[in-house]
Amino acid sequence: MVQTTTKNMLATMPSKLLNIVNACAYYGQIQALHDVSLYVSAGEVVTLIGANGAGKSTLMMAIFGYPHLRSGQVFIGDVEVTNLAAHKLATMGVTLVPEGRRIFPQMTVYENLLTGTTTQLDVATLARVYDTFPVLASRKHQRAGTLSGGEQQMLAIGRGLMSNPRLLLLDEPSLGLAPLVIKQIFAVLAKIAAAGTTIFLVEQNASVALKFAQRGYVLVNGKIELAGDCDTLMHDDTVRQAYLG
Amino acid sequence: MFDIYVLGQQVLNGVILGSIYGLIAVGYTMVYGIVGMINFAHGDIYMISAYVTAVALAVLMAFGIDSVYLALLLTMVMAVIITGLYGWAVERIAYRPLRGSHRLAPLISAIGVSLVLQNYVQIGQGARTQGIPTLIEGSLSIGQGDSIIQISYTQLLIILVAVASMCLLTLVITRTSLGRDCRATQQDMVMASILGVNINRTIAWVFTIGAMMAAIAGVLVTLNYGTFDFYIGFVTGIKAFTAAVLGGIGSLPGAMLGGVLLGLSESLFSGFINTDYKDVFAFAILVLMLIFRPSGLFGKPEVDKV
Repeated sequence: MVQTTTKNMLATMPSKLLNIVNACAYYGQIQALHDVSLYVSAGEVVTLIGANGAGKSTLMMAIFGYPHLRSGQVFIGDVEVTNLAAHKLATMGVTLVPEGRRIFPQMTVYENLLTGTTTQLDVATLARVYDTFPVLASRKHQRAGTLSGGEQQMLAIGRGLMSNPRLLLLDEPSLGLAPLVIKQIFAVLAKIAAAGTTIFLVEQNASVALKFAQRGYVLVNGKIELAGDCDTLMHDDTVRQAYLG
Repeated sequence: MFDIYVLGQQVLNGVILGSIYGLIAVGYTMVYGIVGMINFAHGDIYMISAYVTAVALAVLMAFGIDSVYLALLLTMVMAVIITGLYGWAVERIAYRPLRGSHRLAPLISAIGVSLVLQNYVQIGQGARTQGIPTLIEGSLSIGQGDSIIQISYTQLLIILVAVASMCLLTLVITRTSLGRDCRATQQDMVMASILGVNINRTIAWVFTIGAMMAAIAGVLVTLNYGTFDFYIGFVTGIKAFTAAVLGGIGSLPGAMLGGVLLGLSESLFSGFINTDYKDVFAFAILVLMLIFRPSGLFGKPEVDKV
């Protein structure tokens, strides 16, 4: 097992936008996260890969306090947000595009986008989102529940962008989508990253994720097993066997 | 037997009664939509409003406000604010501390609040039926003698105010950011909070708005009938709950239409069949509805893609 030395990088990185320290979370008696520590520096694109049930989404949701961490800490920049009321994170420039999209099915596309704003509606931002996903503009008055899976994913990402986030958390954006749609969505995400948004991506689809991100972590049964540059991880034998097939 | 004037009069009475049920049903349906539970203290919130109306009118008279319409307007404002605070308090006391616990727990605590409110009014204001004088005299009528349809100005006011309040509420829910927060919370509470919606504040608002609508109903009923006691919230509350179920609980237009439908059927039943059994009839509708169409007349089947 290759343990890439993240500690050295840690010392040189100037500002950690997201920093999770020794996070432990439980579902009832079952421990879902074991001392998970990871960080995402400003401007980085970092991924967390792992099998189904490894605890990836649990970690993502635990950032927002669902479930609460039993021990450990979460920092956004220098501010500790461990188990803070979830709505306070939105005002700190953190947005989640959750697993399964979780758009509001009874609302129109436009209203869904409005739910992503944290202040008054910024027309320029809305125009930018419509520009990024033209299909949302053409369906803005349609009920979101009637969109296709790919369109719903675009809506979920568009909703996330409405607050002009500093940190965009993406939980399995490729889930249940056709390969062509996945390609489309990751092309857009690459543009968003290039524009300077920090991205933390949780993915089961390791090949897509490792190509997309700069740095990665591998989560196995609630523990970080590996960490390092995506190039290194991609050529790691364990990762290749377990996740890249 | 059949008389077109009786029919007309009963339809009119039904619409008036129904708009009252609708105003109260809105509170049940909104609370159910957002926390998934019935607020059993809601009927007593309505009862509180009747007492606030009487007290407010007395206070305004004491201050020498002699314009009836100004007094009514101020009474309405006071009733809406004070009763709204009661609704807010119900959420803080009976619901919020129990959020995340067993589903039945807040139900029981709401029944507790209901008993507290009834007894507190009974002790504070006395158990006897109380009343206010008729404030608005006069009526409009079509026809004469036995062939007559009559609507008093008070009843006219009920319809106007009820329709206006419903429209205002609909605007708030569909057009404002508060309404959007309510709907987002109703559809996915966790996601709404992640997107920055303050869930606690939104739920508190829903209880408060529901109580405000019940307050309007309380003022209107008190003006119309003139009498009330500490127990009026129970039957009226359950009737309004029936209306909410009839329209599809959780649906706002459903509650409004359900109210009017229940009022109409109750009024027609008592006009043409039997007055004594009108409550039995209303609750029979509730039972039949729950058996055969629990999602209500306007409850939409879920068609959303997952």
